[in-house]
Amino acid sequence: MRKCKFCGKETGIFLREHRLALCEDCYPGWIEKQVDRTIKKFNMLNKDDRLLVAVSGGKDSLSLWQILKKLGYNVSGLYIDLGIKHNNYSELSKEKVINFSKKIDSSFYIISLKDEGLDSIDRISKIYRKTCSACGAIKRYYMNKISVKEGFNVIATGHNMDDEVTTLFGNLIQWDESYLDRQFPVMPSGDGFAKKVKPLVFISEKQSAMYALTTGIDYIMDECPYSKHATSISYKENLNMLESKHPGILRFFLNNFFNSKSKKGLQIEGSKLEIKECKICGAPTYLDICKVCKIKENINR
Amino acid sequence: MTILYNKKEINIDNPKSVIDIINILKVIPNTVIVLKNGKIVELNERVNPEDKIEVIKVISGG
Repeated sequence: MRKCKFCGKETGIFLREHRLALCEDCYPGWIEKQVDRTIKKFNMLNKDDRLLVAVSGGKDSLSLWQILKKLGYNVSGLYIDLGIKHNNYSELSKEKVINFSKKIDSSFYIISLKDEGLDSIDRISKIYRKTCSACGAIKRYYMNKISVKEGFNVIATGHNMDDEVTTLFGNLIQWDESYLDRQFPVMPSGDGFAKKVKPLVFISEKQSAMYALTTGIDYIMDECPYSKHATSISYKENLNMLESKHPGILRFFLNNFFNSKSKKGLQIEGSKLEIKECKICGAPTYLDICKVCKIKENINR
Repeated sequence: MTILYNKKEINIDNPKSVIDIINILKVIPNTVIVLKNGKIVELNERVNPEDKIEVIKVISGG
């Protein structure tokens, strides 16, 4: 058995991409340090920021919430109740978030799609074939709405390295220049949008799950029923086959992409599209009517 | 032996090591965490019939 680099204790945790063995006691501190390093590298946060963390009840968002709290940031959670009935998914997720907020003594907000006139993702999935895309738009809308309403100046999301590499790969496959332009760990505030940061961008999905396990985070292990056949899962599995053969390749890929953008100053350019106010709700949007108001119209038709 | 795979019980015939279990489940090593008697272990870890093995899938999408 390998021995922990820091304390010498025997361990089964070996990070091949870093050639580093860490025991279950030393591992969480190492992850927290990596996240802190990413926050500083990309100038994501200041200690006087008011942060809103989008939490789903899954390993990444709950881990991020805990890490930011431990690092001394002023952080609250936002849970969006999507009303997914399959396997009691939304109820169980909400329960995990509520219990976790008590454990780490942090405040949180709950938004319910039903209360917002959007019914549920179950209902929306019957109208929108691309359910994940509609769900993503709804989540982004309410993250921004609550941050503006409650005075949070930064929104943090638990996107991990696998998520980011998968997105990058998908955008490259489709050669979607608009998304490639915008993909970066920090999106500045402006035009009615709050600043957005992704502090777990260099923490792999497996590392994030190990952090949750080694710090006793009780997260929802069930996958969202609507993401089971998502293209992103297939991309992730294939990219992880590559990572298994060439440890560190995904980090290398993502890091080089970000470095190349930083050198060219592309990350601050953002979208070139004109921002308008939604004619129905007033939210910032690239269209006359924002996507969430469109969804509302369609499900109430 | 009976193992837990994402909280569901699965029977596997006489695995000698964690990698045998991974191969039988046909999962990519990077996409799972394996616990032996509650501790995270590496792929080359040997397993005995009395060990409590849990395999946790870590990939999620959306």
